[in-house]
Amino acid sequence: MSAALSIARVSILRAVRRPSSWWLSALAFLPAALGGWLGATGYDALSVPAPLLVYVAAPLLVVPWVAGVLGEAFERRTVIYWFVRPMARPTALLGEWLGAAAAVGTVLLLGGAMLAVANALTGNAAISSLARLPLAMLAEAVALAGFSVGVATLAPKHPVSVAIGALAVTEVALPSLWGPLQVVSLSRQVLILAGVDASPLLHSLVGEAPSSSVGIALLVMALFVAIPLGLAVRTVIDRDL
Amino acid sequence: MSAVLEFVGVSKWYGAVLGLRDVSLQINPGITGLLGPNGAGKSTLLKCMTGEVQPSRGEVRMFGRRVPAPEVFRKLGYAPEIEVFFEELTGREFVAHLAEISGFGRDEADRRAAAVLQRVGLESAMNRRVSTYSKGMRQRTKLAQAILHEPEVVLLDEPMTGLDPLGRAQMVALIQSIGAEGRTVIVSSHILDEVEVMTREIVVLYQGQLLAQGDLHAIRGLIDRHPHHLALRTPKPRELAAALANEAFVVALRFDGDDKLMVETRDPDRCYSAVPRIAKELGLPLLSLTSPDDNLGAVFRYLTMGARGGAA
Repeated sequence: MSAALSIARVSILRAVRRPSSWWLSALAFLPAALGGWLGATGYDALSVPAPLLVYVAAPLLVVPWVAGVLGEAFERRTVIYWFVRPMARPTALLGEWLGAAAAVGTVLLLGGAMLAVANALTGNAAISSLARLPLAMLAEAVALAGFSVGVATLAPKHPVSVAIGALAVTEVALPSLWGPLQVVSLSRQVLILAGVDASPLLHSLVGEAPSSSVGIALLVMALFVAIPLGLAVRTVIDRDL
Repeated sequence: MSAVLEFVGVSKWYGAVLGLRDVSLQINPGITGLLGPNGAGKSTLLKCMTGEVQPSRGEVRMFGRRVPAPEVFRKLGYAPEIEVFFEELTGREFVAHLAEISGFGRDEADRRAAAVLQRVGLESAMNRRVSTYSKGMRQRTKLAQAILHEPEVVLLDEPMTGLDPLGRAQMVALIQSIGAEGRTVIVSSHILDEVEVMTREIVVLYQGQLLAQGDLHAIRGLIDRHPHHLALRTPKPRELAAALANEAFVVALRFDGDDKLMVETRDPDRCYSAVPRIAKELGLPLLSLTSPDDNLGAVFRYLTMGARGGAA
């Protein structure tokens, strides 16, 4: 476990020192700025900015941050420095996941908190959204980070495009095909956790959502991480580098 | 007593491309040079030792245990041929991080990182980010991370690449000092002179095949179908040549300048003993008797010529 924690700590340190991390982090705060402006002009501060944060900003932040960097580590073979040490190879994936989840989780937690505050200040907030939205964003960050680690391990040559393509399928293509398939959408589950109704704009894009519970949302999120990460663990044990 | 490292019938294919073909060899403590031209299979051989790639057939054992295994990695240090690190870290952070993964606590890891970076001559640069390092500094950093946990086996893949002459000399001294500590050091290179100054124990690979293994002179003994060369210096080389032409062990004679005679022989031992005797009988002073073959370059040329000829 100490090896995983060391990898996580170094992952955070490297992210902090990469200029791209700071640029990507700005994505998390744009919806809050939009929410503040909409609220100040008399519109609902959440209905558009929250889906924007969940569906667009979070994946665009997390996928390049996590999948891009880990994919590059496989492609440039810097992972070999870890893999010739006395630890199981999946420990490296765990460490990368922990570090990435902590880093992007902090950013998205803050982004969600700022949007919740903007919503509260403009008088439209249910008090519960002050806590639920940031926590839901944290959960999305953890899930997306695990998903990205899995995809980067499975497809290290083009991790970002593969991850974005997979998300396009689960978040847009399948739900727009048939309403009940919204259950496969991570973003949909995050909105349920956040207690935010999808906006009419979102409904027009992906259709009406069936009712769902927090329990199901958490289960779906767990599967969203477990499937790619599980495949990645199997792959990384046997794969030639 | 079993060898430190053992390859048993190891073959490796990358799709249709052959990486290694039925390689069986044993490596014992000390410095061993792994020689071969680019694409000979040196890196594949090292990667099989680290578990980076799995053999398609056969197995690799280290201390009697099949590779890869966590217990093996405690005793193994590896400097790969790649020149990239986690570029955002300083040299000290990078090495300390790998020390932590090797099982040391944070304080001990940092102490070891500082000590080993000092040993490889990076004390003044260890707190700079590795993204600012030159090629030579990167080679030293790779060596540092390979030896930080005092492994019994150290694998160095092309450690001289990108070094200037002074850097090469310093790297050779470092590698020799590691070998002198009783460790098993395997150094791959495609430049023969580099290895020659470090060790006479060599493994020669060519097109994925093990061409030869052992002491440089022992390997020379194996290549009896190739003539050996001797260079003689005498004031009257034509008189000496006339006498040598009657000897059965002489294959060819060639003049090189006014006082130099090149002799090709299939029996160098007889030639070495006979030439001074014949020169004495003729009353000719023998100014020098040397063998230009006595370096890895010549041996490697012979061996690879043999492989090409065999394949043709």
